[in-house]
Amino acid sequence: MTQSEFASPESASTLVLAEPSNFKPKGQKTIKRLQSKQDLVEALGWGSLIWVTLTFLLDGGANALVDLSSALNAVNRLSALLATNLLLIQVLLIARVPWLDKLYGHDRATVTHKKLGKPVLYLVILHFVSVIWSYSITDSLNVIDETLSLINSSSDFLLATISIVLMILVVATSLNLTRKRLPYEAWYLIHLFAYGSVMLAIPHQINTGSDIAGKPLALAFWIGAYLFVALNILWFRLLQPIVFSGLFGIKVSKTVAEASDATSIYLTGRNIRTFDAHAGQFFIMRVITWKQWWRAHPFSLSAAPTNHSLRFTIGNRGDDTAQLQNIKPGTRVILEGPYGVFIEERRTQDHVVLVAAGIGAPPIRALAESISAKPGEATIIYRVRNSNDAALIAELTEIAKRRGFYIHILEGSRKHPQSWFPAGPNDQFPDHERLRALVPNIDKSDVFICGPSAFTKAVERSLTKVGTPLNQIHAEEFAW
Amino acid sequence: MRKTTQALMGTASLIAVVTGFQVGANANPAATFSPIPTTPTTDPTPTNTPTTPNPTGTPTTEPTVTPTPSPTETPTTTPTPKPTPPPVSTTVSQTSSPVKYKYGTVQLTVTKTGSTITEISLDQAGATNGRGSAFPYLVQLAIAAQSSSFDTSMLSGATFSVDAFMTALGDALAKF
Repeated sequence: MTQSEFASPESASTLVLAEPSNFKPKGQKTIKRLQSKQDLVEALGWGSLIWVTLTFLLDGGANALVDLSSALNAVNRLSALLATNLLLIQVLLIARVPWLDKLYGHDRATVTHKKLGKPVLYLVILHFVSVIWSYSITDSLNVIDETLSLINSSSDFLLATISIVLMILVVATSLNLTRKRLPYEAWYLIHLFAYGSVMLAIPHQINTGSDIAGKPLALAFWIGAYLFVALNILWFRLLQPIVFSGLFGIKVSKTVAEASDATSIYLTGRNIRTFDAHAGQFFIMRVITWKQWWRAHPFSLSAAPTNHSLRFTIGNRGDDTAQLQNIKPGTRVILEGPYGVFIEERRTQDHVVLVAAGIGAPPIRALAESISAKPGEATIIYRVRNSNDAALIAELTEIAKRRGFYIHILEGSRKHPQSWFPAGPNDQFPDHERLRALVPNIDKSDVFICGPSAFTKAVERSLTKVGTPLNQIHAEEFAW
Repeated sequence: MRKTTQALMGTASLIAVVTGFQVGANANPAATFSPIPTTPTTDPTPTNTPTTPNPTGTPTTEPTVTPTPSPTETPTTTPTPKPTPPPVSTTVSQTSSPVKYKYGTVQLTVTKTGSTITEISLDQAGATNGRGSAFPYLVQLAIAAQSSSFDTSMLSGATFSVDAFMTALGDALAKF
């Protein structure tokens, strides 16, 4: 494929823009409504933990704890119930189901998923150890003989033992220490074992679980819980992307080089609107070629979605994204999404500030196009190293010009490593003062930030100093 | 979660768990069984065992609630040892081999007078977490049925204990 010219200001003047949305910020109402929904979901999750504890207690689980063996047995039952419940919550959190994503965004769900990893494993180990210990007392065997006899006598137990080994492997490879040393693909493949781990544990729960076997109500609860999680994953992670992308015939219609290290990819397909994407959101894209089909990548929309196309702008980060720069028109693509809460719906104020750095520009570009704001109500801040080679800079400038938004291109290297402003005549002023000089009403604006995480954090620090409330700060980190 | 929701959930959870603990602690797990016709008294522990024939010891003049914890000690039907053949019905006891199962070990001794099962005593009735409370009922049921085939479906939540008991009972009966 021949590389076309980088998008020049001339081509920007012919830029076709979507109509801005007719969104009206509702202030605190938006936050209240969101919080109620979040509270409901969290209460349900918490309630499920209380429910399983209650069934255990009502069954006399904490009763007749007369000796070590019976105490260990109670520990084994309760830890199993809590671990299984938490594990299902944990799996659901990473399943990228839309109804959770809408409330928390992918990043917050992932953080919680990670946080649950170790506690769940500890509970499972506690369960395993207390089972072996308590049985070994009852059978007056040593722990090793007891384990061996259980493995020999019960296939359920054998499967459950494999399950715990897999779980230890999954958690061990996900610790920060080991994760850094593993290639992504190795980590990912091992992480898939988690599904195996969950499933291998099911037979012993159903057949011998003191709180399930022979208890129809409990059995119904657990089967329901497993089915709920499984169907959510199956539909949203696997079937829906394949069905939608296949039915609609989603494929690359053209590519446009935007800078020396960024290319825009246009996707078309029948009913592409069905995805119901919004500016600021991202998709997980799987390019169907022999080399690429098994690797999925997250990309943000770089233009407001239209009725017949979606546009992504992909920075060349040297990995697969390098090959995607030369993707051929006509290539089939599977889209999973849209995801993310980096959307106008989260806005509370009339004034908006859009802050982008480097390849964080695409979602900011899409938001600038579609956001509902009168001239003067929106400000775009774009932090670049070199404005001659910055993706989408011409488009952002053009949008600002047509819609009457302020735009500030902050160009050049910074003076202090802590600063997010370029070196310049105002160096003696701290970042937050410089920000306030650019946007005087910054504390009464919604601020959308997209850039590398160090940049995002630096901007957030400045915002805290100028007094922008936390719920007016919206950030999308594209570090995956 | 917001502070208020957190406080509400916390309080509700605390109340639920404490109540659950209280209810669970008071209700003997056996209360979930619905054994033999006799309507359970306020004390859900098995009271005296009515099916035992002619306790030779005390005449049953005091039918008040005297909970006799394990059925093994009640009837003391230990009349004639072996060297007395003359009576029409001889009394013979057979002990099962120990049956190991998930929650412990069960071993029992069946005493027959003639061909009638008069007593089943539990030599070992290991069962963690109050699961053993099924055993007294099983003893009653077995004596009533005079065999190891009887319906145990009313004893819910004690699958493993029931299985172990039945195995042991079958084993002991096979020895006669």
